[in-house]
Amino acid sequence: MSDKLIFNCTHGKDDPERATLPFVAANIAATAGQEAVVLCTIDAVWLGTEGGAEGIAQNGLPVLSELYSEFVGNGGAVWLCGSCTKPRGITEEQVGKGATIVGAAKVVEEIVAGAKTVAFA
Amino acid sequence: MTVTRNEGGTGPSIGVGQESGRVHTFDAGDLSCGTGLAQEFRRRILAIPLGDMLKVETIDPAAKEDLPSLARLMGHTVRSVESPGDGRLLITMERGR
Repeated sequence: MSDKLIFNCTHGKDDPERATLPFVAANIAATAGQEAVVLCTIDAVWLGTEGGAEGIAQNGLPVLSELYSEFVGNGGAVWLCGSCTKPRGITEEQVGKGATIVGAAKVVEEIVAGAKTVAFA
Repeated sequence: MTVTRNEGGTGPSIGVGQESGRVHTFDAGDLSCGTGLAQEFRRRILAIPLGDMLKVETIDPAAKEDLPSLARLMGHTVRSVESPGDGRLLITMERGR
């Protein structure tokens, strides 16, 4: 049985609000002691690279690089879609603290085991 | 157990003169979920007898996380995960069904 909460994030620098919101929600979950994961797909995979969250801020929301660090410090995990990192040339060496490159089977296994997913359109 | 190499053939190679628990190998290279890893893994593991092992070598970072999940989802058992430190990951799985 998986108790994970998986928050999908699909945007990076191109849309600071959509990049930040999943981390806001996921950090609340992690702060509350829940097992939280931000699943980064498409351009959001840059957020899990070293320095990839720098310079992203949306008025009214936390600065993403600080929020990212807080989330990881709270035990949160960041999963980077492998099918999205590969075409962008992102390697394991570039992956930042708390982040892991994963494939679809990893996500499917968690969902089959009971993990809940949250998407931000 | 005998470990045999599969040099790009159409199916896993089989150890000679061994009983159940033989180890077959599959070099998955940089295959990942977006490039047919699941389909090829399923084809390879279903080509070996129940109870035998399939040792998969991968250099793809996502496949390293995916292969154990794939195996469990398909009803097989992960027996060992080895990281030689050269960028490869070797995952040995027992065919369960």
